[in-house]
Amino acid sequence: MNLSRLQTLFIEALQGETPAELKTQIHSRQLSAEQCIELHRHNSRQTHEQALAEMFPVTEQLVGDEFFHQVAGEYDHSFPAETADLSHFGDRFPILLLKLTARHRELDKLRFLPELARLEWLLHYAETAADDRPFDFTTLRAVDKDDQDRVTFKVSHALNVMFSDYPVLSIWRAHQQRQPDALSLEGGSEWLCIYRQQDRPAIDVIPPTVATLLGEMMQGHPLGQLAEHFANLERHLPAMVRQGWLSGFYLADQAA
Amino acid sequence: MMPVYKPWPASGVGIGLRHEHIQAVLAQKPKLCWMELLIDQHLSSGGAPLHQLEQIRHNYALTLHGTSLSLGGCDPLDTVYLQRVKKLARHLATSWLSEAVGFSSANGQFSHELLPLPYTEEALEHLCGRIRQAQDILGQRLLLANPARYLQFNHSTLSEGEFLAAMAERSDCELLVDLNNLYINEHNLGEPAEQTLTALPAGRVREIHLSGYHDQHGHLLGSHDSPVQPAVWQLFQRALELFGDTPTLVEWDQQLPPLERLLEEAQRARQLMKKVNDRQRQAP
Repeated sequence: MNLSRLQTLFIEALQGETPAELKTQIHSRQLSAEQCIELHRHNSRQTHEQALAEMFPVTEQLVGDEFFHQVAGEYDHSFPAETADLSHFGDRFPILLLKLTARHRELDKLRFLPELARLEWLLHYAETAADDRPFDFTTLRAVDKDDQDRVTFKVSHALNVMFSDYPVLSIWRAHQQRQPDALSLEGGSEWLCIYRQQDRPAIDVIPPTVATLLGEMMQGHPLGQLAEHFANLERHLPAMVRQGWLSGFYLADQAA
Repeated sequence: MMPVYKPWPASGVGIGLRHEHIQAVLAQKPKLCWMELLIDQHLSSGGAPLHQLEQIRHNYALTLHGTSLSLGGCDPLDTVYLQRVKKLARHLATSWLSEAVGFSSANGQFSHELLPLPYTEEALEHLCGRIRQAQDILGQRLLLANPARYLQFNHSTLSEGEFLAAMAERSDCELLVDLNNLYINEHNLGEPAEQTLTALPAGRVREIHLSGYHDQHGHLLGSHDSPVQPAVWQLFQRALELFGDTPTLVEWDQQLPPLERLLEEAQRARQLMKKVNDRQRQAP
């Protein structure tokens, strides 16, 4: 059996049944071929489940170890890791939870789970995202008046915005304080800004206008265009810079 | 801006630094020359995780160890991942980078579990090409570690020692000798550890790993969840006789004890290293 074929069969075996063709190729002193494969299968799943548990601790607390174990197994099977970088492994976990909550009526009480998991994913992202350079006010002040409409702000690497139909921030906070009994689905329908402040992930509830403004900035809309869509820009911009949400700027027809 | 660090290299006895010990290391500043980071735990581009490592780097030399690069794999190398590793290594001015012999992906799927290669000429040639490719991208030599193996392939034609020695020569890489893995392979597969040790080119051995194993119904697993076992200490003494004063790392990954316990293991390794060195100096 050539190397490529052997590797394909081995990875297939980790995802499900061990192909007979592979079993005939391996031996060990004390274990059967299937037991040998099972050791590696178990290790791979455990590594992936542990990574998910670290990225989605509140989701794990809410559903319990056993259910989380099952969901992690399904995730491993439905969304196999596509990169060597384990820190990206959980990126599609909220999608799986969305599918599961839509498919299983018994999960109706936990219908907020996909959005909670999305919040946890963005917190994980914010924690480890690249550092921003300090905002260069001097250069901004020096921009020619005629060029000001072309000023395009760079949003912090760590920042993301999400909308939730459910009070996921309250749920998340209750679990930080070990008060899971305080769980309530009252409220919600809120925009959240997830970012990094003083080296730690942070979450703010933001007005819809600010969420839209950040969204347009993330799409690279220049100041002139923003001014057409948003009143009170002069009030929002300094606050955004102070919060560390904006990390720099460039002129629209220049490379970022 | 890139921080500037003292350029001392890793030497003597170090420990594997795990998340749970970072605060204790920052507070206690244990007397060690170096520590090794598991790449998968520390591949941050910024924020507190990276800044804590920068603080640690001010007091210690650091090395990086990974198992996810799938150097023996037949899929194309994950160069995005490799570039991130390179960036982290440069940022922290690490002494060296090590990876394990094996593969972990196929057909675009990554298992994050180190899987064994058959010890054949085909696998050897393939692996050597990939090591050279990775070394070219990284701009430095890699250290390749012998894996813990739970199975053998019927069509293997080379012993582990022959495979590793040929790999080091052909790809111009260096070696990380994991003594716990050698012992596990001896127990599980009947490959004498002494035979593997003596087959390795001493001039290419750059690092030694010590750790504990788990005995699961008579089959040993490289779990790194216990102290270094007596048989592995014996192998350590033999390895020092063969390879001389080699930077040595004590690893403990699961059932992690307090930092002090890990430092005790490091102290034991240091004492043994001194004993062997003294004896070799006195030898005629």
